[in-house]
Amino acid sequence: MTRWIYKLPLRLRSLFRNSRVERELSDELRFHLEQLTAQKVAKGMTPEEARYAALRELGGVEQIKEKCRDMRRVNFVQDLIQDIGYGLRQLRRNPGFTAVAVITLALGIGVNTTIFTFVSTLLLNPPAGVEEPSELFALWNRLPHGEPKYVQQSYPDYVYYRDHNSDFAGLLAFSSDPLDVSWSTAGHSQLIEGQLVSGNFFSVLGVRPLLGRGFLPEEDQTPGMPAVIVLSHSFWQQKLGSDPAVVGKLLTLNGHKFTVVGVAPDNFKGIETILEPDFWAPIAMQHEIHPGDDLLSSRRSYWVYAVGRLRAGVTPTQAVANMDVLAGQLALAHPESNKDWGVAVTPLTGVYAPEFRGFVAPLMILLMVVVGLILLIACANAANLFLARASERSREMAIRAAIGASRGRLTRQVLTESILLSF
Amino acid sequence: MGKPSDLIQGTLDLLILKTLALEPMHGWGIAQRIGQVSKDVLQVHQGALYPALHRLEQNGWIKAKWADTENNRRAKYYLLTAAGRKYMESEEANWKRLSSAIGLVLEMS
Repeated sequence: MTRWIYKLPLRLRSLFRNSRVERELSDELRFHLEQLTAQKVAKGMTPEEARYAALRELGGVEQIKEKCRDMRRVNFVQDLIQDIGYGLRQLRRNPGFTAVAVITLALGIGVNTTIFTFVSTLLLNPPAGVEEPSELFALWNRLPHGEPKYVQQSYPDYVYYRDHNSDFAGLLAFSSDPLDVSWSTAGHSQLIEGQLVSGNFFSVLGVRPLLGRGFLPEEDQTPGMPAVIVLSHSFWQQKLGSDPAVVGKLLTLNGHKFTVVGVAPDNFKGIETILEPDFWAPIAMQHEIHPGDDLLSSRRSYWVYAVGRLRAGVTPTQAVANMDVLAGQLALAHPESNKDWGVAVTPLTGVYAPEFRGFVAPLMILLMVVVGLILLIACANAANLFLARASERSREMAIRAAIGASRGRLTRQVLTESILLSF
Repeated sequence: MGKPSDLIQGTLDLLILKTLALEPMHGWGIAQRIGQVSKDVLQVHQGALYPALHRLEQNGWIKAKWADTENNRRAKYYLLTAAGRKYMESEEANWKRLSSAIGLVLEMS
């Protein structure tokens, strides 16, 4: 259909050069009027009589123009603009109705968004700021029986796995619970949260510090030294005023002096996606950061998560098989703590305890249903409000129909008003 | 078939297109020509003529051009497009079929 070659420029012209099109229409009709007048003059009338007669004959010029405008069915967009303008004025004139409707919808949408963001962060997202998160897997202890089935690692077990495995390019560890330490500064103390991590934490994750450096593997070997920490970006920004010379400064934590060796980049918030620690310290500093039990040598305290980067070409199943062998060796060597234990390997996204993973999909679905219901209720409320108003407006609609609005036009108008509210 | 006004509208379209098939013309001229050729039987009122012209233009069957008349007045001339010519021919065939059918029915008595 080649007609569109003519139609499209015409429609665009009607849309954008409307005043010009209107002027042309006036000119066209005026030409007709002049010709008609001239014809009557030729028949013998005087010029004024002819003109009056012609005008009468022409009838309503405005009606003709309106009909011509109707023909130019770019009216859709113009009508839309008109409807939007009218809708806005209506909303302003009924502030009570508008307010209630807006609040209802806002609540529904707001609740949805909040729940969704929270859940998606919790369940679905891999940690940010690390290299190739898909290669990172968590290593669990698998208990032969009883609850819970999967637990974290003890530190000595972690070290054994770290030093004897061949499947992971690097295996790191970090404390699973947030550790509160007392930070003494400028005469007062406040509690900040830290995380104990292995020396290869930053290098295995592929995190490049913003300032300074991460930890070195040798910094994790001797308990009690060295006293170094890496600061999180938010802590550095909020509590230390983004001090550019912070590397090398000393912070007093739990009464011990720690040297700042680096600041993390702002997109890295640690591995656990909900909690961002204020700083990271080597696991070797456990006694200073978290005094109390000896967690470094106890095989019975399961307090570290072990996370590793699988070597290229190794599947999680292979890793589990190989690590199970290592676990068996541990069980032989230490039957009092590790008897019959195995390992499990899970990808590192959000909540990654193996026993929870099966719940994730159904949980998401349940959540979407709940969220959908909330939205439905909000919409139903809003719809009720509209209905109440509609009965008031029947007179207005009747008048509009009498002037010549088609049903489609009326529907479009009401629809536009409704959509306006959702903004 | 549509509403009766559709029939009248369609016929007017055909008359306009046929008039323009001979030569480009402005609205006034089209009305005059139709009146003359039909021996004053068909008087096209401007209330019907201009909406029809605008609709035909919107549908791409005719296109418009501003030009000077013999008296050096500016007027909007319309021309038949190729698509318009095809449409006119098919409508003309329809009309002939329709009118001969009506004639047959009217003659049965």
